[in-house]
Amino acid sequence: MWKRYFKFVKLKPGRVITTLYGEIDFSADNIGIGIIQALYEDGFPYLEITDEGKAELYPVISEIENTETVKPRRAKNQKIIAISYPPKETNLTISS
Amino acid sequence: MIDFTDIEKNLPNGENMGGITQKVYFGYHADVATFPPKPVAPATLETAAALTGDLTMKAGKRMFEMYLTDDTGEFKIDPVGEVDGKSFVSHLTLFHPGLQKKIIGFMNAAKNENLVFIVVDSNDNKFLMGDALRPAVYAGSPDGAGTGKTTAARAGMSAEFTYKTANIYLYEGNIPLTDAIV
Repeated sequence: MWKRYFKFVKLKPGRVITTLYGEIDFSADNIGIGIIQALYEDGFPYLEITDEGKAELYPVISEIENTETVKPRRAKNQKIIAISYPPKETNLTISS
Repeated sequence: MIDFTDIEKNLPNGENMGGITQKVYFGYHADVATFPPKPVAPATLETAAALTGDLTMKAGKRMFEMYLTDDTGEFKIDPVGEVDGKSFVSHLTLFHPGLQKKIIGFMNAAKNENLVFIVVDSNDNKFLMGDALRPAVYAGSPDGAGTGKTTAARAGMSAEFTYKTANIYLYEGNIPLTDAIV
């Protein structure tokens, strides 16, 4: 279940002594999502969230990420720079 | 200089058990990809006491665990050096029961190698023995290694490992017991 929402990275799936919960075997499918989410939010370096995890667990952030760049009102011939969220996926639009 | 502050009695939940847990974690110093950085110009006593981040291993390498008999393990910190040259030597001592192939093979493999250990005490403090500059090394068998003299004795291997360090730090990272694939 948790593997739909998070991806185990940088290590082969297996045992890690975690700072929050002690030993966890990340090759198992039945780890509680609450445990995985708490590790992720604590900065555990071996977890990445999936798109499905973002949509299910962090819907507001996911919605912001999926929002199209809003074209703001502007004066004629004014240059606009619009940057979408998150910054690492910057979508730079320059129009005049 | 680090700012001093009051140091009160601070035993969370009144807990302060002695000793270490029944497992220590070890690996080859050469297999470590990155050591957690030491504090740089720490402003407080607490930030001066802890490493930040995780110990990471090279691809295909990992840390391993070793069982030890309860109440035989100890992590000890000895100050050493002359005036204006003080530093520390930390000692890990333990007893592994039995004379099985794995522990004999470990002693053969480890006795002249550079190592790293992570020791967890009974209050869940973790100590990393080894840094980018200096490893932990095998120092001997303080309580002997062998069969024991009597049938009531206990066969097995005791071992001591030492690590020389300028400062003592807590390790607050995770311990990977599966191969790195970076």
